[in-house]
Amino acid sequence: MKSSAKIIRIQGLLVFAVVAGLIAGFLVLFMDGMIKDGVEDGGSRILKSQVDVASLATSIGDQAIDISGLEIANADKLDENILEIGRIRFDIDAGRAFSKKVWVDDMRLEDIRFNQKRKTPAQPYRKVRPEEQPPKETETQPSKPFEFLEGLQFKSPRDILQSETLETLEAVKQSREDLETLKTKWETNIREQLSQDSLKQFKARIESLRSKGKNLKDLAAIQSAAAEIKALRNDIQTRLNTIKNFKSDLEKDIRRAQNTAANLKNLPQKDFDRLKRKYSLDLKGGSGLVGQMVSGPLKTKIDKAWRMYRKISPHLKSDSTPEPEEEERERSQGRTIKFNVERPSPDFLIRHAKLSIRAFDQDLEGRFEDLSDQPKIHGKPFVLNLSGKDNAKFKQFSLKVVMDRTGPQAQDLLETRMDAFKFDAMEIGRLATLDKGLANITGRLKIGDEKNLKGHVTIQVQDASFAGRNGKDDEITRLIQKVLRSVNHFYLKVGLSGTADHYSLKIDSDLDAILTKAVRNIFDEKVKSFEADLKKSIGASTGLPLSETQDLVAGLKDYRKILKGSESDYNNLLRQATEKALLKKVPGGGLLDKFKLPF
Amino acid sequence: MLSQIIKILKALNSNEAPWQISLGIIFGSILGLTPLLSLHNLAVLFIALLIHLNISIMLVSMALFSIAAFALDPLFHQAGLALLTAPGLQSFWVQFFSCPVFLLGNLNNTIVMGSLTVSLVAAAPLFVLCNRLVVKYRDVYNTFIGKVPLLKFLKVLDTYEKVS
Repeated sequence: MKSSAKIIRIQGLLVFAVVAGLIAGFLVLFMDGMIKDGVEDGGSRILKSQVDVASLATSIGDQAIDISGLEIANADKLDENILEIGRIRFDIDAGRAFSKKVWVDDMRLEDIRFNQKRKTPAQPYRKVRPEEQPPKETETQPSKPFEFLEGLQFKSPRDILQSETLETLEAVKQSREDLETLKTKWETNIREQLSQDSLKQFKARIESLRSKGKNLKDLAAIQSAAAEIKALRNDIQTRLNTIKNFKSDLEKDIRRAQNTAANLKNLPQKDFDRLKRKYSLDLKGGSGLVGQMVSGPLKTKIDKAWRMYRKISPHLKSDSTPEPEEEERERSQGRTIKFNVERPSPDFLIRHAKLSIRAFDQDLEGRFEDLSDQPKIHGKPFVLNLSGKDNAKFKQFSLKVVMDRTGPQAQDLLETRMDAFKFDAMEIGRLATLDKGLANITGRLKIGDEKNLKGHVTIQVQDASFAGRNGKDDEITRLIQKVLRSVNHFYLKVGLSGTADHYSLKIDSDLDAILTKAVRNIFDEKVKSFEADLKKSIGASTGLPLSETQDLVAGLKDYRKILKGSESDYNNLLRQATEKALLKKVPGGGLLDKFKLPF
Repeated sequence: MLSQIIKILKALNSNEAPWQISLGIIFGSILGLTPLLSLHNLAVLFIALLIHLNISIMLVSMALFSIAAFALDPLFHQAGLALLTAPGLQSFWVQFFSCPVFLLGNLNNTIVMGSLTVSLVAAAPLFVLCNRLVVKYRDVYNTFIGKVPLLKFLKVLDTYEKVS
């Protein structure tokens, strides 16, 4: 069965063309939808919040993509979009696309808006586990503006003492335990070593020797009695030595107890100083009134900005060497190897983009350049410039952001300037609002290595108009409101330094001096009254325990008398326990005494 | 499964030359062993449609080799990894992948590279083997037909129908 078949099948070309046409047709019909779904799914995955696209159109001829109505939901507030972009149009570098690289030479972003209300709440991207929950804003806000002045309704000393542990009472408790131990020790010593029974035993031994001394008949008996007397005297002397040691030890214990008691006397003052620092107020110290006013809200805003920076920062990778990296494939565990091509280029790059942003209810124009995921390879930093001028809100505004990841360490910079900015009513705590004013703002912030912050903001406010807020109506509120109403202009300088997790704000303002002077009189009076009450309460709480401690120290002194009495008793016994007193005269004993050898 | 066996038998007993059947098996093996949605398979499909090979056999071969591919994937990965990371070939690969089309074709993936290389290397011996098997099969088959008069008659009838 041999056949001479033709090698080429011309109809095959037709079939191929039909198949290729079907594929192309499918792509033309459905590619836009597929890309739109890809943007929504991929964006949601990367940003961890819902991303919506109203429409997406590709133009193969122009190699361009046109996206309308891009919305990125706020993951922490689902009824709000953190970012909305009305229209995005960009050209894709098709040549690079073959290398799986996304390069955009020119991009237009129009009608960018922030923090807009959503029509329908966004779906949470995923359930957040409790340990992953971002810190609530209230946690990062150490104090509300003017909260310290509202604190002029001081907490009552009684409540303070209920919630606080007094060092005095703790020390008294400890001292009493020590003194009780000492007391027990001395009671035991005296009972065991210096009891009346013991004294009686010595007296009995003396009496026994005395009666024995009356009946001495020979020299041997005398010698035996003399030896007993000597032993008795030794025992009494030993006891006297013990008493002497006891006296010395007791004096040491008394001195120590007296020192402890003396120290205890100072503790109520120490407690008072500590509680005063905590619950009373000092206008001279701290960061000043304005510092306390603005540091809370400022910290909240800085922390919020920092969280956003941290979200953006990882997408600007600073690693430059395209090492072989693993990429899981659906069919199996294949690996995609990246090769160090002779002229490496980043996988993602937007060379140039023009923006139109709606901020402060005004239109801002801007541009950014060189947005890349591998800036070291690209060799140029990302630079964003925004500006606007002569509108209803401000005379001039400029913002420059540089994110430089081309060097060994990331160096980011933010510079802003705003002239004659008309701000809306701002709440200053619960006491007042800054109704209107014109502010000139300049600021510069440098972030080194993605964590070290250093910068400053200067705000000069003119034509300021403060107004009191309804609600509280007390002396201090009225005074603050009155003072603020009289303020027409002021400046505020904020210095920022440290790391992102532990930064410090240095706030300086001339408003400080004005406010401090005004509230000082009332403030001082209230503080004095509070402090007197606090001192009295501490005294009442600690008086009795301290007095009891003194009694215990005095009790120790009583042991002096006991030891002295015992010493006297044993000295008497020692005087009685002599050969002369206890033994009758040995016959011839007197002659022997008078006998003297001739040499 | 039955229809596929019938397709194979029909192809084997048809008038097509053994190389057409063998090529169908070879092209099917490339399509089946390598990940289907790869750029090189578009080229394979184009050539397969252009050359007068047996499409049915190619589709059956593709299905069978696809099943085999899942078991052989670790082998392909090892082969691809060895090739792509061979120190002596690094400069070649750098030059090779400077052409974006090869990157687009995922040839820098170990499985794609391994399976394509294995299927291409195996193509020549497989072609010779298949050719011989087809010829051998047909010899046996014809001998069997010649021995049974009824089958011989039916075959003549069938040939007549096709010619007329």
